[in-house]
Amino acid sequence: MLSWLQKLLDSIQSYAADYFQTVFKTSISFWKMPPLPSGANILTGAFAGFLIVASRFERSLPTDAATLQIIIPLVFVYVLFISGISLWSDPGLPNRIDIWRQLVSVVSIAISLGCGLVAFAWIAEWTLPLDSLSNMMGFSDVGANRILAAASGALVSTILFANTAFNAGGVRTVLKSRRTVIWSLVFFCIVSLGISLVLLTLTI
Amino acid sequence: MIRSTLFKTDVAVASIVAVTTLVFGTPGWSGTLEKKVCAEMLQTNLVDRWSDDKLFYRGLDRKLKPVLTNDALPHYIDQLFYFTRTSAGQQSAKSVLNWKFVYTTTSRPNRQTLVGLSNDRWTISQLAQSSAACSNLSVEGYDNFHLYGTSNICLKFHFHQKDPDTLATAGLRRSFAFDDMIPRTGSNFLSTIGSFFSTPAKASDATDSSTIHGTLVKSWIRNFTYEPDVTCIAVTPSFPDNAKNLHLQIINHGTQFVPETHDWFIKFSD
Repeated sequence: MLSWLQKLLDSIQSYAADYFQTVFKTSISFWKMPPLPSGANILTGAFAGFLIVASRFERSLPTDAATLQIIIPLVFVYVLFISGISLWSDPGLPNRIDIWRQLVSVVSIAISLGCGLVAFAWIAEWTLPLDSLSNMMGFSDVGANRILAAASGALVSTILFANTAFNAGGVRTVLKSRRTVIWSLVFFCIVSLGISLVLLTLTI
Repeated sequence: MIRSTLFKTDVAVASIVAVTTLVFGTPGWSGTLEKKVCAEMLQTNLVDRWSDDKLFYRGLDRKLKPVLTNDALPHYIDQLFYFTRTSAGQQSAKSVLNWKFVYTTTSRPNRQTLVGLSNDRWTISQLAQSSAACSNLSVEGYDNFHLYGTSNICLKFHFHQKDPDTLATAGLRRSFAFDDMIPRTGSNFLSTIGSFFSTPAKASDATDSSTIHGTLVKSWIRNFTYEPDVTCIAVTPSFPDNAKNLHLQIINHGTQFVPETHDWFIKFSD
């Protein structure tokens, strides 16, 4: 009886190791990333779902079922389509269909990380200066959330850039690749827009 | 409907806020009126200098009448008068009343999940800014801000104030929340997490959620200064025409950071 339990735990452990190894290798140059373990994007999606709700909670936005039934599918469709459209805009990349999964993974992880940063403000109020700025500029809560989305997008892009540099062996190596630099800016836009969608105000 | 504008001014909230501020926003005559009302209450023995906090309205005969819980009140009431005695050392001290209105209406409001806010300190220009910043505030967001300390630009920078500080203590902060004044529908983030650690609620435990779609919710801050002996505070509530019932909760912040809560359950007779 214990042997099947042992096997199950071993396979979970092995899958988790593969999954997190891929997550830690998340980089802006996603075309160089190792292939994803099966179901990795589903698992990332589940984490993302939790962090989407947590970030909405932190921003005092509704987290009821009716709202989430709109927000979560909207973000899901956004991630799939924005990844497809971005890849289509870069015809120089080889095997675009194959690496689409890697790009979806990077976008999902980046948006999840952004949501995690927003949710982290519940513990350490790092968003307060941004909210003060939004208030000084006369923005509504909707405007304040857009500013926060842009700031989180910038932070996430910086983290991704740092991780890319770490995996590639230095900032100079990354900066030599014009494609990686352009994709850094693209990721900033994708993540900022994604977090804006997560923090959308709906009137149902 | 998805909203994507940066500066969205909600007409309904703006009109509620405008009407309340114009009448309820400390005009020059209000102090005199309130003193007269207090004198009238004492003269007619409705209260004495040792009475507990009470709420009054003027009937059709213009006489002051106490609001009692489960009373049937007419819609025409233009003003409510809150009476509180002034304890030793409170004279001339500033304090705050938080009025929380939860109406059950005959028809479903257009934007039933939003909270109508007002602070009598708002000037005309602040009113315009506040109505823009506070036009999308949901009941859930309002309660999460007060109960769990989440972020909200409207509540932090527009609705709450520093002198007296309405968020000075955790107790004062929590006193603003509607919490169980409003029956909850569905689940929110914390209840979802909580359900992982506790057994699911039985059907008989669930509150009646049928009223949430016919509920209007308001939270008003009314500043006042303690007068000698007794203090009266006038508020113009503007009851909605289609209101059936009202749960009114008034929290008197006092001067010692110990809020006192008083509840009235009111039915509308016409």
